[in-house]
Formats: sequence, structure tokens, C-alpha cells
Amino acid sequence: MISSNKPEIIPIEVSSRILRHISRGIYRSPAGALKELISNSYDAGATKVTINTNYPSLDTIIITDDGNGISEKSFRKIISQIGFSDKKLGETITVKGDRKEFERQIIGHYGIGLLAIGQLTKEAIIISKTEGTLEGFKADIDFEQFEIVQKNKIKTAVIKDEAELEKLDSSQKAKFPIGECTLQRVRFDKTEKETSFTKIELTLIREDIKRVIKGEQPTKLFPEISKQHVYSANFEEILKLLREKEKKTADTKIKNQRIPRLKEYFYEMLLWELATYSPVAYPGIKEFETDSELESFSKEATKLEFDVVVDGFILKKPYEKYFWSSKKGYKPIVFKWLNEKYYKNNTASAFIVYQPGTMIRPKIMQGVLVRERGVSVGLYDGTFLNYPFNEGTKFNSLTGEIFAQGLSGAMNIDRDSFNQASTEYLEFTDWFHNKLYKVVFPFIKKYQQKKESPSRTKNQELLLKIFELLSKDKQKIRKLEFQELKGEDKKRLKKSGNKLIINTKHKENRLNITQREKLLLAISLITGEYITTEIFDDVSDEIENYKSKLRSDAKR
Amino acid sequence: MKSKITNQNYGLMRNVDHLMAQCPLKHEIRTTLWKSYIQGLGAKPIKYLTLYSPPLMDVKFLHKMGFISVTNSKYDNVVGVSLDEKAVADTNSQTEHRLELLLEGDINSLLSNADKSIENKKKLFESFPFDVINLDYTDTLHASNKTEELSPHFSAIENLLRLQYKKNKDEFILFITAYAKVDLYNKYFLGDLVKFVKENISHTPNFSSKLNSTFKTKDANEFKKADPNNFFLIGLIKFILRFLKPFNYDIKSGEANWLIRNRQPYESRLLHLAFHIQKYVPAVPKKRTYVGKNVNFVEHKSVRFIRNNFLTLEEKKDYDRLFKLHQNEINELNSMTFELRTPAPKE
Repeated sequence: MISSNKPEIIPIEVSSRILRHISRGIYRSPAGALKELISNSYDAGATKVTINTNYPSLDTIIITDDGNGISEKSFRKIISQIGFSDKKLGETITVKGDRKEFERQIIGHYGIGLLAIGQLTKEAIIISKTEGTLEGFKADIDFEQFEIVQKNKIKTAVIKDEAELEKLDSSQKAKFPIGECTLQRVRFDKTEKETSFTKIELTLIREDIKRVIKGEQPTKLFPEISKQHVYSANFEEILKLLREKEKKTADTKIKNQRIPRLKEYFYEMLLWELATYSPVAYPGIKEFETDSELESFSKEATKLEFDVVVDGFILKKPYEKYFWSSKKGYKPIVFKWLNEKYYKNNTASAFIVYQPGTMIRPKIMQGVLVRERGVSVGLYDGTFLNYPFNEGTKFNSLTGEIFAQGLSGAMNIDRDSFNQASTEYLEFTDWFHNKLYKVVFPFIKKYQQKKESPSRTKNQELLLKIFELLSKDKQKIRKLEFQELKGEDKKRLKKSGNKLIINTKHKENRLNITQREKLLLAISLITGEYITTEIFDDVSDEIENYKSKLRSDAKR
Repeated sequence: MKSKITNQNYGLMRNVDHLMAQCPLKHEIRTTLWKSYIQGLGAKPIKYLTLYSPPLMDVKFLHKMGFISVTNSKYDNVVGVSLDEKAVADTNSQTEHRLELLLEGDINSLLSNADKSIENKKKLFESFPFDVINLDYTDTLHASNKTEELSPHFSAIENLLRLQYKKNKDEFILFITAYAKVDLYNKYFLGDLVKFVKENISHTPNFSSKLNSTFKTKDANEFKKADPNNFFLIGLIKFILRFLKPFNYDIKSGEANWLIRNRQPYESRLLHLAFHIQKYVPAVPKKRTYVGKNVNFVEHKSVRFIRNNFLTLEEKKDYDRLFKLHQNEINELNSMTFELRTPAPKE
């Protein structure tokens, strides 16, 4: 209650409950938290970071880098005040590269790496050493928001009950403790004087993190997929697995089976996400090599000299050789812009790949990925940064990356999304949407008019053949069947009574489900007949509705 | 009956695996017996099937020797079988590259109809044939508590020979390692071995005379009592050779090495067997008038194994010498993991 007319100054403070909530994790996924640790290694001047998740057991996760290490003094500051960082926005560090030293612009400046650790594990051990000394430190960390439970005689960490945690929040403290750290100085052998490194061992992984990485959370809905570990020998095999899984899913749809989508492969998705997030090199395929259209992007990424190896998988930007191959007779088309100013002195470079006549696979690559200093902010955005016009299915045939400078201030704290109401971001999206509106979509429209999609031609040809047959024969067709006629590879159609058989043995008759639907709709509309098939009974109602809508439109 | 390995056993086996991985005596066997047999095959690079034993010293060693190639950060044509999730994780994390294929499961049940993991079984079957199969077991081949006539280990050996045969593999190397303490074996199985040795003594004069000249005995039971280790070796080899015949396989050569761990309170013996197996090609009859059957008498070749000079490595006698000889290489192979090497703080 204000007691007098004198203005009173009251400090605005953040409740401890909010701090508690933030300290329990700000990252969307385990990959997001691991990305933070990779970013820290990058900012420490590392050229290589290895992550050993010990999948599928996930007992411990070990992150090791060959960066400059952390001094005991800096580490004391970090743990005593999370959010404190010596790093300044736009600062550069010197990296000892393979051949020579070079400058690298740092990407983080919040000093919240410890929160990423706390999101993944209850207990952790950090060992670090800087160059030119024989001393380093070892820190045993214990986060208090977790409790240990026994599961099948194995110790595991689960987050404490919310009500229990709130009891701890009543104290009004200037700083908010979230755990304990036992710090000790350690000595190394004299031969290691010039070595520098940081090793983080996450020794008691949270149960829920394990469940997410192993993909055990949809067990109740899909018990059959709860324990599918697929072994892949290298990262290329993972990319193939993710792409082919989608194809398999699409094929299975024909048999009316309900099977889970791409995200069945949770561990593989984690690796894909890390490869997408990290400032690693592009794969050694010709599209990114010397004299290729995307050489400049590849050079920029290679220049960073940063390798990430997870469980023996050497991560590269997730482009398969297959991605660049001709599909349905058309090769992908590349649009690119280099070092263009979008706001004041802030610049952006971008490339967009258009795959004519087909959609980008895997679907998770449909959209555009924004990178700030090589690190992605979120994953591929299928809305193309909220592009204001509807371009229908064209969006599905596009993918690309934008390398921007000057967006750090517009990023949210988890570096996974942008604050959309920031000047830099608004100007940046304007620049990009302008490219889409004036260059990309007009080109695609012209291109589509010039060359009809081969799949459409295939359908039209088949339709013409059907009408040719119908015009010769007065008998009405009541049933349409897709059937493999053995030993009759060259015959496209066969009439049997009031049934028309489309021979799937003929290579031109191999239509996917959408093409089949369209074909059926076209025959039905043109002949005005009601045609049933064993496959499309469920769409016949839709056809009838569509026909009546056309009739009423015509009357109007 | 499906062989059942309890979690407790897994732990024990892991400990043994870990010990053996670092053991200089074992490394001597890698560098002499295994290497020379693979060299004798004359194939490079090889297609290799191996069992769980992180840090996969055999794979790393064979890669170093040039028998296993690496492309695209994977050991080409190497298939590993690991017992459980933890073993898969260990195998992956303790190698520099990933194996071409790593399957979770018990090799014995994966090769039989007992395993329900159809997907893994299918993948294993599809990956046959192999140039080298290394069944580096760390237990007995037919334990005393097993009641079935043919133990899961022997069923696995039979099944993998069948798969090699089905995939038209004419020549390959088979390594079998097992605990060879006779008291730990099934008594009916040992009874069978006595029977086989007895048969050979009475029907094969060569066998009988060589046994007599080498071990001064003509009686199987007496041999078992007087020299159980050599009795076991000869009986076991004869037992294994019997599996070759139905698939028309013969042996080009075979060798046995003993590894005796006697620095611990209980002495244990590991028998390392190596066979160079090839398709049986009948000899051209000397007389053209001969019209009898050409029979593959592969079992008779057990005579070759009646020797008392097989290499025997003992911890008490050989450990220090072999430690000096192999320690650098063992350390080198051990440190070949994908993880960055970081120095350990001083104690």
C-alpha cells in the first residue's frame, strides 16, 4: 500500500520459481542441449569434438574436445554464476588449424552450457586443461533437481516432483543454487604440457532423456516399434535409412496399413539434427566440390575446420549423393545469392535447391535453414520464414540454407528460434521473401509451364489409351482394377466383361496412389459413370461430391 | 533348449573379455596362430565374422596387418555379434571405425531357430559367406549343466558350416576358442569323446599306433584319466571334424594352442583351435578300373592332432616376456577409438 504521495521505487525481480524452471532445461530436445555443448567446444577453438553416447545403453555420454580448455579461475566464475561469460558477441578466437592458425568468430555469449548439462544428467564430471601448464581441474557436479531411482537394479535419474521443488523456492536469494560442484586441482604428466582439452562425462543420464533418444515414448500407442535399433555403419547409411523409411511408409499406405512415420528412428534423428545444427563440412560429393555451383558455401564450411564425431559417425551436412540425382528425368536446380546486404552492414548468402516434379526427401529437409556463423538456428522451416503467399506444393520441392550475419541479437536464448519482432529479423525475412517472390517462384512457374511433369504425361497417356479402348467398345466399365498380368509385359490394358484391368507389369502403368486417384477421378468425370475399384471404394464418395460440386458450379 | 545367459554371466564374460583383450599371451596367439592362418588363406581384404570382445583387438589388429580395409569410416566386410545393448555400445565406442554390421544377440541362438529376432537373424544369414570366422568363446563348449545332446555352441558351429556350404564357400578359416577344463564339461559329452577315441583306437591302426607312441596308451578311458587335457583336445577335434563331412568339407591344415592362466588362484585353460577348411576334392583313382565311392575321410585327419608339442603359453612362465614384446602394440590397439585421446590426471 502506498503510504504517501511520494513516488516509491520498487525493484522488479524474477521469481525463484522461474529460475528453477529455466535451470531444469531450456532446450527443445536432447539434440538441442548437445548442440549447446558442441557450440561451446567450437567457441573454445576446438577442431574436433567427439560425443560418445553409448547408444543403445546410454549409460554415460562423454563429450571431448581439443579446444583451448577452461582455466580453473574461469570455471569457478561459470559455476558460481550461470549466465556469466567472458565471451562477447562478435568476438573472435585464434584456432590452431591443421596447417596454420586462423581466426574464428564465436557463436555463444550467454555462458549457459552448464544448463545444457543439467538438462541431460544428474551427475557430471568435467576435466579440463589449458595449454602451457601441467595443472588442470576436475569438477564433480551434482544437480539437485533430480533424484535417483532404481530401475531393473540400475541407477537412473528422474526429475523431482514439481511440488517438492517448489518447497525449495520459498527462499529469497540473490543467487539461485541448482546443484553442487566438487572442484579439485589435478596434475598431468610433464609430456602433456602443451595439451589442452575439455572432457565432459555425463554419468547419470536422466531417464526421460534416454527414453527420447531411444524412442521409447510412443510404446503405448505403437508397442511394435518400441525397440527397433537399426545398425548403420556410417552417416551416409543413416541418411539413406531416413529417406528410404519415408518411401517405405508411402508404399505401405497402399495396403491401408498404419505405420509410424519417419520419426520412428529417434536415435538416427538425433544424429541428423546434430549434423544439421553443427558448423561441420559438406559431404565430399561433386555438387560441393571445386567449380561446382555451391563451392563457395562448401569452402566457407570447410574453412571452419570443425569436425563432430558422434558414436563413430563423422557428421557432415546431411546431403546425400542421391539428393542431387535426376528424379523423374529432371535434375535439381540451384538458386544462389552471395554476400548481399539485408540491413545496414549485415549480410546474407543463401542457396535454394528446387527439385522439379518431385518432393524433397527426407521431408524434414523441406524448407529453409538459417545459419548464424555456421550454426543453424532451429531446423528446416517449411513455412519459409512465414512466406506470405500460398505457393501450394511448390514448397515441398524446395530446400536451402541461408548464412546470415547480424542475427545473434534476434535469437532466443536456446538459439533454436528467432524473436520475430526484431528489426534485424524483419529486414532479413523481407530480403529472403523478396528473393522467393521475384526469382524462385516466377522461375518455377515458367519452368512448369514449359515442361509438363513426366508423371502427369504418364497419366495422360494412360487416360488416352483408356478412352481409345472405350470408344471402340460400347459396353460400360463398372470396375477398374490394377493387376499384374503375368507374361504380358507389353500389354497396358485388358478388358474383361465390365471390368478394365490396368496391367501393372507394364512399366508405364506403375502409378503411385495419387496418380491412381487422379486417373480414376478423370475417368469418372469424363464418362460420367460411377466406377468402383477394390482399392478406391473409399474415394468414390469424394468423387461423387466433387462431380456434384462441378455440376452446381456449371449451373451457376 | 535355448542357451540362457544370465545378466550375472554377462558381467563375468565382460570381465574375461576385458582381461583377454589386454593379455599379452592372447596377443601372441593373435600375432602367431591367427595371423599365420589368415595369411595362409591368401585373401586380402577378408570378410570376417567375430564375436563380442571390446575393444575388438582382433579387428584392429587385422586392420593393422592389412587384412581388413577401411573405407568411409567403416571396417569393410566385418560383421560382429554382441550379446546385449551394453555390449553393442561398448563395441561401438571402443573402436576407431564402425563395423560394417553389428548385431545384438547371442551368436548361438542367432544361428539357430531359437532367436526371435528375425531381423537380426536375416541380416546375419545374408552376410554369409565369410573368409574367416572367429568363434572366440570365453566359456565351455558343452557345459556340465546343459542337458541337450548337442550344445548351443556345437549347433552354432554346425549351422555356420551349413551356411558357408550353402553360399558355395570353398575355402575359409575357422577359429574356435573355448575353456578346456574337463571337469566343467557335460559328462555325456565327455562320454561321447571317449567313445570316439575308442572307436579310432580299434578301427584306425594309424591313430592307435600314433597315440601309443606319443602318449603311451591304447585305452581311451585310461588316456582320459592320465592326460585329460590332451585327451580332451584330440576328442574335441575329432568331434568338430565330424561336422565337416556332411557339407563335404575337408581340412587343409589345423593347429591348436593352449593358453594357461595360472597367476590366479584357480588355473584356467583356454584352447585355441585353427582350421583351414576347404572343399573336399576326391583324389583321382590310380587305377582307372576302380569304381568305388570317393569318401571324404576328414575325421581320420584327427591323427594329425596327436602331438604333444602344441604351443602352450603360461602366465607364470611367459607373461613377462610377452608383456615386453607386445605391450606397445596392445596399448596402440587399445587407444584406437573414435574418441579424442585425453591425458589422464595423475593419481
